[in-house]
Amino acid sequence: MINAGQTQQIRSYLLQQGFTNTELIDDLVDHLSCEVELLIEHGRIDFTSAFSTAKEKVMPDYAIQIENDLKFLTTKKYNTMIKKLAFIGGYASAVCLCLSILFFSQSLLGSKRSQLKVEAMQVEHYLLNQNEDEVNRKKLSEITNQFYRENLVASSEKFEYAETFLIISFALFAALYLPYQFYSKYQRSDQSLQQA
Amino acid sequence: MYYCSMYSRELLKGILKPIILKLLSEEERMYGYEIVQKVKEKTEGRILIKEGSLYPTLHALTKEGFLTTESVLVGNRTRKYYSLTKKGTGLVAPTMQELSDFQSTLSLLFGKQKPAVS
Repeated sequence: MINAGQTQQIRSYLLQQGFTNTELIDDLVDHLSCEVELLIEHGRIDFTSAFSTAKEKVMPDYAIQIENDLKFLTTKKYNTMIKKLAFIGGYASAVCLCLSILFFSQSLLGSKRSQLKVEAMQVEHYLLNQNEDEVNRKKLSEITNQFYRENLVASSEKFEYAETFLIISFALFAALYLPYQFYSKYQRSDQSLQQA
Repeated sequence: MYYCSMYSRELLKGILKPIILKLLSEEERMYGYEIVQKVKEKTEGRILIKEGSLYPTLHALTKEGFLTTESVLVGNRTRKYYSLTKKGTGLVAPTMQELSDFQSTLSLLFGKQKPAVS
């Protein structure tokens, strides 16, 4: 059986290769040690030669790939689910924001359009009825007021829709997309802390 | 890159999980090196599992709750023994069944009658 110094040499090699996962390092130290012990026993060679052969046999060309694969296998599914949720949330939020802008502009344009239409009606009326009397004036006033009211209700409804969509958009953005951004930034900083 | 055997990597891809489950259902507990040696011995050297694929799969199965580990100090190093959890034991039969069905389906295509996994 190899001694403590030799085991430490194997561990140092793995750390040098960039391994950080202690569980995986324990597995690989044991694995390499078993291989080295077998080579020493059967091949009757010294530790240095046996370790060199074991490294070639056991470790892939790019050793740290083992840890990268491990991270991929153990985190991918979870991350994919979070990513999907975040992107769906972000997309839905953007759609709601667009709808909100659309309804808001419709509301503004609607009120402006009704104002212009009333003015046009008044001008048209004055041009057609130069000698206007009180009855005609009242009639015009009623028509324009009615028109104003109807358009005001329609504009107000659109404004309410715009407000609702804006709230939904913010809620989706805050509940799904922002946490994902914070989570991935936290993960990156956590990883760099571990590697430091 | 990760498998060295007489079979191509494409053929062996995806078979590692059933191999680990099957071996651990036969043995009470095993460590990584032991699994590699056992597969080599059982397949007469036709399938050699490389560590680059073994340990990520073992850790993934542990994280998913199918395996549990027990650390034992051997000399001056830690040896991790893997064994099936209750959840993992429950996975063995359906995995073997799936593999067996797959073999039967393949035999429909390629005409081989003799099952390779029992």
